Amino acid sequence: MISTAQAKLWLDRYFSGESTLEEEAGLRKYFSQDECAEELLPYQQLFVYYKQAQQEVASADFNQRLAHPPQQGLRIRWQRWSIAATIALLLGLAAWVWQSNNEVKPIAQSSIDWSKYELKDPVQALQVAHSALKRTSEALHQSTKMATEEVQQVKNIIPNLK
Amino acid sequence: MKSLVLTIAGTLLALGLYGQINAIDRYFQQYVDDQSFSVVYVSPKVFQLIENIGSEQLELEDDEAEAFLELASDLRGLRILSTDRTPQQFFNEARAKIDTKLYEPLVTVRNREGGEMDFLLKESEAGQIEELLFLSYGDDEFTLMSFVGPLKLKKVMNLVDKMDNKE
Repeated sequence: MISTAQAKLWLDRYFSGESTLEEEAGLRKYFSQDECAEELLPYQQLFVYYKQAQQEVASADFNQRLAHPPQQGLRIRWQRWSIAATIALLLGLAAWVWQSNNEVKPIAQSSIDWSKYELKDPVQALQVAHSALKRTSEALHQSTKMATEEVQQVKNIIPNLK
Repeated sequence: MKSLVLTIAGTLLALGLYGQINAIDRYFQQYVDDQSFSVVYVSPKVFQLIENIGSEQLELEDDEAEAFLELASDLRGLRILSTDRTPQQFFNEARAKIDTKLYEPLVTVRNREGGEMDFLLKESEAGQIEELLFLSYGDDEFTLMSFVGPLKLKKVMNLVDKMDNKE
């Protein structure tokens, strides 16, 4: 078993990349023992890990799995679809939030008490209705007349317009 | 149980016929509450009574009375809002409030002398007019009228034709 001083020296060589295989084996042996100098304890985990890693062996079906790898294409395709679906879902959600914030939200039911404004006398009510309809009818006539005149003016400018 | 189902069905039918939400309920509730607006409502009951009220009482000539009767019997409600305060501002504000996905603009006319008129229609899925909305402003007044019912534009225009014949 090497001394602590020797271990320190080999450690320096190890981290400088100058250690020999024998020196590295000596270090692994030094750090695998229970007693280790306190100042070197941080390095113990490192060399214990190396030792454990060296002992790891491939599973029995390693070669078989290497020869027949899982269907990578299918997995990638599935991942792509799930990414696309997530993006579509997020876009849909964003559009819905945007629309609900912007759309005019008409009320579902009337909260106005129209009876307060109701004309109770049927004759008076029908006279008002007649007046309103007459005004609307005149306005519609005027609108269509103006629209027809505008079309006629355009036709005068462009005679071939049908 | 049977009577309960009938009651619910009846209520739904009544709501469907008379409880149709009009543009004023949808967008202009604050105008109704505004004291500077005049508000008038003519209920469906009045239009049902129209046949009992003679043209003499309404002081109409026969031709015009016939055209009015034909038109008014389709109405399920009339609401009028008007104000003489800042007419143009209210017109522009009202125009911006109306969802044109729901109310299709029919005709818009701007007079060279000032003032504007706008007709908008709300149609059912079957393409039948459910509501005719008429907005206008001039120097003196902003007016908003909502005619609810299965109206026909031809009948609306016919009213003035009959008046012209009379004159």
